[in-house]
Amino acid sequence: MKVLGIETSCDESAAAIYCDKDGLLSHKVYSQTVHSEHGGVVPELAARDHIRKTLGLIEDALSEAKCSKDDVDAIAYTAGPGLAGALLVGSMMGKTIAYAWNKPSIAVNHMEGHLLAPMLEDSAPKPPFVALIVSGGHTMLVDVQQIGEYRLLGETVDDAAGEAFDKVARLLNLGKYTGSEVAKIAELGDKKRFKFPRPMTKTRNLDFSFSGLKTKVLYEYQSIENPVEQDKADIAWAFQEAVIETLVKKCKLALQDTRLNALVLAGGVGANKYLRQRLAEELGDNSVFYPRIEFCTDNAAMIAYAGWWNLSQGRKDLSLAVKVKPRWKLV
Amino acid sequence: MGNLQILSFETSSSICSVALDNKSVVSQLSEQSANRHTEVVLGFAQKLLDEAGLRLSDVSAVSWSAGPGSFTGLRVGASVVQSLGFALKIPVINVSTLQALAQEAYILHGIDDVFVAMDARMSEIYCGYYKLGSNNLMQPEIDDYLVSVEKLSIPNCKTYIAGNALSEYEENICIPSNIVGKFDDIFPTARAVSAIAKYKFYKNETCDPIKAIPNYIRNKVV
Repeated sequence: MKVLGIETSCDESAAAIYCDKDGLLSHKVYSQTVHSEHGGVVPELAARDHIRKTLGLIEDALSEAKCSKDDVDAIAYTAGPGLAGALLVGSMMGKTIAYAWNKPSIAVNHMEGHLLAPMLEDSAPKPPFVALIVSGGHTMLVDVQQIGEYRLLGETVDDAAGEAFDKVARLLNLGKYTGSEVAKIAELGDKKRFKFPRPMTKTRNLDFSFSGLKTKVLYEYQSIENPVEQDKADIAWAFQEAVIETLVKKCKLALQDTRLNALVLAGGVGANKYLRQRLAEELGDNSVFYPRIEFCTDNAAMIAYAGWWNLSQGRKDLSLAVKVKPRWKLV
Repeated sequence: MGNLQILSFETSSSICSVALDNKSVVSQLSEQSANRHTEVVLGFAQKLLDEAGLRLSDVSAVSWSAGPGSFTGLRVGASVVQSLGFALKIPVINVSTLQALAQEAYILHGIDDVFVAMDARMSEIYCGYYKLGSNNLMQPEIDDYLVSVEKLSIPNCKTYIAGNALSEYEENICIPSNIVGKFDDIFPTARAVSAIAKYKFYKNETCDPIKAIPNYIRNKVV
């Protein structure tokens, strides 16, 4: 069974083909560049770029997988959560192609896609496990008893961790204001100069809060007269360490509470090397599962996979109505 | 040539309409469906095909109202025609939304000379000027453009004015003395798009599906 997946929930347009027999046959991603000068994703620009790029990616994914209409069994698209105007493009395209080819379509939850991304790897985790989904839009811990059966253990009460990274990149005026620039400069930081608080770690609670840390960064940075690159690196290190130690601590707590011993790391911040290193140190290499870096950030491979899984459970949609769900909750 | 079937989509305003030209018999479904275009548009297409006893694979080309208009609405139309064009391997025909509005004025009232003014929100108006040409089609006299309400200048000649900007900005718009009549209740429709598209199809003014990109006109959005 082959599923075409389409993803346009934020600032990546993507298409992929997943086959339950042969695995991932192709995956294509275009990362938008129109937002860099604006210091954050501009929803209208994102939607405009999706309209220009998505069909080309679908064509490329199909041709690389040597698939035509007859080879595709279903079409999966991200219906939410995400930016309404961006979601609309991929959803409408997915549904329309399914209609024209007389195939079922499947509306996929983007977060379920992230959660299932490690399933695309050879060393795929087997439920039950705890999943930490951590990206620019989300920070949540989920108890996964089996695929499709999710229980929310905790989530951020304000900023997502990735959002905090992005905002700090902007506060420190780093490159293109992306969170990965913070991680990069943090490597050069003095590990002893600053110590930032670990928010919400004093109670046995699995929720997160990162907006205070961002404010801490602002105050520290403003208190330095004529800051140089080293000052930025020192602050970036302290910030990153505070975020990551908080994430690691809560992951350990979640595993204790659920009495599970496997952790799945998913979402864009899952690409952070220091986070991966610290989780491996604390939990052991064999207990932590994560997808390759390119499947941490938004992609359609995970959407095609999640679509296939839902289809295998008998879920499919033959209606002609499209409803995007910008605030669709996983649990 | 006699077997031409064109499916046309108009999603640029609060009204969603779809039309089927089946060997020159045009049928249309429309609904005032603000924010619900994604839910109704494909169902309309299928219903028209069912009523005509056709299948989607019988369609020779798709056309759409490509702007200017509601950004989100235009992307519904673009997503639909790009996908249909690609999936069915048929060409797409882009039609100006303002030309469709002018054509609808002709269909409804036989108007052959019209200045169209569509509300672009934020105190701006999308404008165009159309006159009846060959084949009973309204043709542009100038390129469609965007202008602020204060700077709107309607030609003072024996023409009609059509479009919802007239009622939206009634107090701010000065109608010149020579204007023959005004219609603020005319919206672009899929049947009007269809009439223009058919002509463009025969003139080979079609495009690859991936080139079905909205003409927003308003490009400063940040």
